[in-house]
Amino acid sequence: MQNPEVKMLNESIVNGLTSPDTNLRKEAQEGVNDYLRLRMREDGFARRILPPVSVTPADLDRQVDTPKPVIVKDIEPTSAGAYTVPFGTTPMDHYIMAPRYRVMFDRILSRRYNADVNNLLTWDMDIRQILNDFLLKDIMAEEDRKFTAVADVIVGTVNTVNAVLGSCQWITVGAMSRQSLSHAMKGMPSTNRHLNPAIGLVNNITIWDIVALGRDQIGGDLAEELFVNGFAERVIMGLKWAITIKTDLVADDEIYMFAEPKYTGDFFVLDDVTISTKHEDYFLEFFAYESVGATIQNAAAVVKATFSGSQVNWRTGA
Amino acid sequence: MGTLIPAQMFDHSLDVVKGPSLMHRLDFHAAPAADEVIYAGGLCSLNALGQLVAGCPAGADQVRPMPMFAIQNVDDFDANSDVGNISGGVMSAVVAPGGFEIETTEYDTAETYLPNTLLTGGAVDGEVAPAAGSPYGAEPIVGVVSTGAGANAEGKSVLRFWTVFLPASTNVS
Repeated sequence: MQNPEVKMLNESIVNGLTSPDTNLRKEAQEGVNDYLRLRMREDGFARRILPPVSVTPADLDRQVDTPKPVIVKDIEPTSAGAYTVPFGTTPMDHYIMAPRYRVMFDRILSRRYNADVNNLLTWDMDIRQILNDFLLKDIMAEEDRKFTAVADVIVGTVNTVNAVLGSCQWITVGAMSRQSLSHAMKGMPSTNRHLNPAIGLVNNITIWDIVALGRDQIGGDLAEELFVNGFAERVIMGLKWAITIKTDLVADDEIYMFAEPKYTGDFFVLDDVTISTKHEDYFLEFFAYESVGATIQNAAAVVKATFSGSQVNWRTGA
Repeated sequence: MGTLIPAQMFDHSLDVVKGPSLMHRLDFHAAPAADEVIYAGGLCSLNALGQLVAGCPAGADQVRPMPMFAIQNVDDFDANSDVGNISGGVMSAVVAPGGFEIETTEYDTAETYLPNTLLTGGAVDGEVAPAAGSPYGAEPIVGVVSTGAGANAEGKSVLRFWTVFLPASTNVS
């Protein structure tokens, strides 16, 4: 037996999406889009680490050799340094240069689903929820997959010093403890850019190891609260924690730490997630798409620690 | 006086002039093989790892690479991107038996193309050229010339043909 409220909502959506009245159809589609966008903001961890910024065609930079959209941004220049001289000495010249980088866009698509309209009406579940499960979760997973892939390229090989930054970006820190957690926190400040981590990304398994830290390790009140209430999003050790169920992207016993977004990179949304629907006779087909461009432009803004093995020094990898 | 001639977005191009509607045409997306140079309009196929490579080898026995024609250049911003960007990593192509008539810049311009000439992979990977043998011989047939070679609206030399796939049938690769 269907829930009458869900049934009514589903009928309203299906009737709207299949209506010959273009206004009704547009209204139904916008309602679904609004719902999906709200869910999108909540569910993807890449978007929690780098809050998305909407851009318009006016923000795009044109190139001669390609029609592909791109945004060119400046990177803070490094100064040539000061030095001590005796009186009567003139300064050395240095022509001002500053690096730039490009934010490039591509499209993420869901599969194009289709169904007989009458079959859709028999669903007990809210159709918006079905769309969320079929369309949005896959899009967010793809965003997060690409984001993690870039982070993994940047952190490089475990226990290996990045010569440019003068520090490792991924080390083993030993089993989870207050000490290993605080050692993990030293990673980002150990680079020659001295950033501080602002957000930690762990999976929903590893977070329980933090919950398991006892009264003697993280303090009585916090230990008791974590024991009683579990882990809600909170700041511990100055770090905001993002917890993901995507254990294929963030493995057990691993933590990624990211600097504040302004030091890390960009997340530009050119086309926010949009559902496209098409109704032909009794078939309804739909798919979702978006176009985003994101970067982790500052290599020093991401580090990773693995809570296993022996603890090594961030600066030496030994 | 300037002497530089900048690259243009139409230097390499695939123009599907006839075929199924855009939203339902038979295209395919995959990651290109490392360091592979594939131009828009270029003949390409999958290697054993499922990566796109330039050209379409004959294959052997029951494994005969499917010819495709690239929609993007391998280094277009939506197919590849600068370090630090999350975009790219995948390119797409129309699949030869999908029922297309295409115009491509990627062909051997030294050859002559009469209507109905069978096409195969050229000496340069990614280009097409007239087939040397009969269908189902030593080389895969990837197209049949329709109107032939000419200049497109941008002044680039292009070859117009129907895309087909007649696999090679001997164990020559």
